[in-house]
Amino acid sequence: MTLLAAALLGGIGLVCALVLGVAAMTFAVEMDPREKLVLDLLPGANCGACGYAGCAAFAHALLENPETEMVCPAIHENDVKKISEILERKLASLGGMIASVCCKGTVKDVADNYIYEGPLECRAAQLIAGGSKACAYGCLGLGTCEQVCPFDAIHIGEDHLPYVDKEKCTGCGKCVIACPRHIIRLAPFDLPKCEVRCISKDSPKEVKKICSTGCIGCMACEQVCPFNAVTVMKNSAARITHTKCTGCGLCVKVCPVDVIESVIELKKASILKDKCNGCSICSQVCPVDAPKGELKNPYTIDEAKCMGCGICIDKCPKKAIEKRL
Amino acid sequence: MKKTFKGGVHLLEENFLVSSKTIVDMPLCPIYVLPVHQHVGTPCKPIVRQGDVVKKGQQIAEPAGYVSVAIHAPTSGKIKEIGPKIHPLTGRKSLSVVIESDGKDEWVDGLPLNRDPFSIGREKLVTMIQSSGIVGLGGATFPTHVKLSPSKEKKIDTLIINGVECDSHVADDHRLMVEHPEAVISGAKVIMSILGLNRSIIAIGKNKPDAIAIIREKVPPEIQLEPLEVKYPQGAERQLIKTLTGRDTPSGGLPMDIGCLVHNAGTCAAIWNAAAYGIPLIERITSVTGHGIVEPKNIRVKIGTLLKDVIEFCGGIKNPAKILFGGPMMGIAQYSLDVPVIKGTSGIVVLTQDEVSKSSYTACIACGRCVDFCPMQLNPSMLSRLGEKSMWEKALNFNLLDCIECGVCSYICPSNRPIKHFIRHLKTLEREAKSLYGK
Amino acid sequence: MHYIVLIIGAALVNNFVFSRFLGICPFLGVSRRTETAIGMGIAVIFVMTLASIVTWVIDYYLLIPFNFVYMRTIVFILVIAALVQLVEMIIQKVSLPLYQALGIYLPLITTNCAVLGVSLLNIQLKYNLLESCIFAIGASLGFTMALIIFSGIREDLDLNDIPEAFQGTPIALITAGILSLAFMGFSGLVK
Repeated sequence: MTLLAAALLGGIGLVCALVLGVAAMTFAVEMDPREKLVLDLLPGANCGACGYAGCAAFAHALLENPETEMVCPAIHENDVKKISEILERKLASLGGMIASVCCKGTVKDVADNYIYEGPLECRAAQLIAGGSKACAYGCLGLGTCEQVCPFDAIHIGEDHLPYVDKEKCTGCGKCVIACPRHIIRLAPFDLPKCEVRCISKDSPKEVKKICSTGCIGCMACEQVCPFNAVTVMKNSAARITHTKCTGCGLCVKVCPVDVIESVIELKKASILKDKCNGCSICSQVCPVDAPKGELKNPYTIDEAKCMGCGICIDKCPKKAIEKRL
Repeated sequence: MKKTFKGGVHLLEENFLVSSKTIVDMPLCPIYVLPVHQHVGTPCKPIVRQGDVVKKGQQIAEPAGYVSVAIHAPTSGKIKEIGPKIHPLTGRKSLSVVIESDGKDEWVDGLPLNRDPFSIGREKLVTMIQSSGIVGLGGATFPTHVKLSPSKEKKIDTLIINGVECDSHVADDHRLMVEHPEAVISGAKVIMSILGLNRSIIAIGKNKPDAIAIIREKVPPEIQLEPLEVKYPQGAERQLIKTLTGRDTPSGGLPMDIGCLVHNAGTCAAIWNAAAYGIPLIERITSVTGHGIVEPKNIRVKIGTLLKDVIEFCGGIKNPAKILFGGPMMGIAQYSLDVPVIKGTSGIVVLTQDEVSKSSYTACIACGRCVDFCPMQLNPSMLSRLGEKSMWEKALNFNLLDCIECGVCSYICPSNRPIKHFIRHLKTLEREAKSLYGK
Repeated sequence: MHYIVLIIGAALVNNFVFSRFLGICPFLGVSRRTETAIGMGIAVIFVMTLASIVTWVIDYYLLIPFNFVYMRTIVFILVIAALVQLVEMIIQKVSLPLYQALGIYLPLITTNCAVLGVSLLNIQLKYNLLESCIFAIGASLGFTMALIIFSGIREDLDLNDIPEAFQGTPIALITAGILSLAFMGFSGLVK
């Protein structure tokens, strides 16, 4: 009996398989071979979170419409890279980029032109005489970036400024497009070490009048930077060239309006006593006077002063300085 | 049967503050600021340099393209600066020419002249209108010469002169029609000669009996006078055409498509001044009014006069909450007194603290009042809800782009919802998406 | 008359989603937008009718004669899955526009319990072939209707401020519950 049941089930299965096999050959339809490849790389869960009716539809859209972005939240980063290769175009929401907000002006810092009472939407607020905040480059703080973020990665803090959650941000750029004041920028995930939180193009005089934390173009940062990474141009906030910046934080210290921020914390230097011959080069190159000691005796680093810029590590002839673990 | 359109509201009439006040000339001011973007279309290009000496009526900026008009010096003086100054419409800084008056107010050579405009010839008249910097003076500031050169397929058969002035405070067109009816009528005749028309209608709101009486006396037989019910927005182009001719302007179309052309009474007077005397658009009539102004006045003000000078001339402000350029329904609130009067400034209205609603808005209760009152028969309730969520794509299904932004919905909303603001927000999103993706 | 009653009974009174609580997965999954809901609905009508005919035939000519009724469920699952695959292939070849319109939803239906439910109910209620067919059409019409109504409501829900805890599926389930209560009003319409 059991055998018969198994045979029947197997038989039906076999018949189905045969029919399907024949059908597959008879009704074979040629499709773009890339579509199959893309489809294989997609998670295949048909969850519909991308807004399309399943992975196949999304794969089709990726091929057909060159504006389709990688909106699949479940896909692995490597697969996105592979799909980019297949499609021969870069997909925007690749990992590795991160949004960064270029304004530090809280309600207390920046003057208001008028009292705004409309919808809590930056883009709508921008329509009324260009936004209530007196600085045309300042964050309106109504949270449009928070609303448009599909990954819940940007939030308006208590000071009414947006903060990016580094863990969650995928660099999709939705907030960058949505921000009516264009103060959100995308930067490579691991590159920025220091950032100028201001993009004002007003004259320094104007900035000083309306904002207590806007870049006033005083050039202090440009002069102090040992790596020529900061440039200040006329009527434009200071800019940091991220490829040159080591994150030493000297500019952060000298900035009179506190508009430059350290994004990462650097490891401090430490001197290996047995290698140091007391040549004093480190104390000569150090911008903050952190190495202490007497000539020809091993030096020590004053941890309170050291910022971890790493200049001494490069200059030490004996390779006696290391980053503290 | 009353001639009117479906929808619209009866506003609290505040025109009486200035409607019986004679137009007075505004004295010379030390500084005039002229933004290069005072009209719809491409901003014009300054043709003067800092330090140049200019005379009254001299062209200081030339049109940069077809949909663009010239700008002229409102008085004689020196160009003090060409740089960014606050623009009254955008609230942001935009390129402006600053003129320091020399106090002599001298005309440029040859002006004003005296000529017969009907002997100039059509095409010359149209180019002259562009180089005289004439735009629609009702507030929309659309370059007039563009409206006067319809394409061949579109046959214009009716000219409508708009003297309705339906917003609740301003009375500049009203006073113009009472004091200079011949300028309005002659301007209309010039337009008719340009387009080869033999019929036109002049529409005036019934709340201006004195203007109706004077125009009736002066009007020639080819121009028909139509007193209209007092209702807002009776002065809006589409509603006016519907009321007078029964024609519906198609969605996304222009009045031109149905053979109509609407010109503001003030524009007609400006055309007459330019055609007969060669005077470019350097001054306009503006109502300075509202309960927040000490002495409400109708003034003939030079384009570029700063708001603070105007207010000073009108005795200052008391208990102000909002200063608007334009009437309370369509006007744009100003945050600075350093903005200049521009070509489209039909009124300066100062509202007091008691007149301005300060309570914030609440959820839509779906009462449907905005649907009843919408003069375009849209569904503002739905549009406002979509606006809250920035869903412009869906809003297109509710004819978002047909909204004329008259503000009736916001005015009657019991939940105090800024519906017009939501709709403008959606429209901006649509425009941005279009420019981003080129759809 | 009998057949009309059958359709009304299957579509309204014993609506598959709201009364029998079958096919909740696609009901919640594909009801975000009305367009996709309609596409899914049409696919379901198609597959359900076809599946009920095929399963009825298999049951009548294979399972009952050989006394294998206890294996009904597993056999039906197998047959429906194969059938859906077959239909998908045929549609893809015959009409590409139709495939693009509903082909995407076909794989989703493969494991839809509403399809299996209708096949099993046909047998349980001892319907003949024509009755099974009509019953399946009624049931799938009811399913489509539920999907479209619900997607309309969900589109409107998007415009409202919903407390954070209720956003997404929770509010959808609550709405579905209320909608289900409303459909209870049909009970007693047909015996």
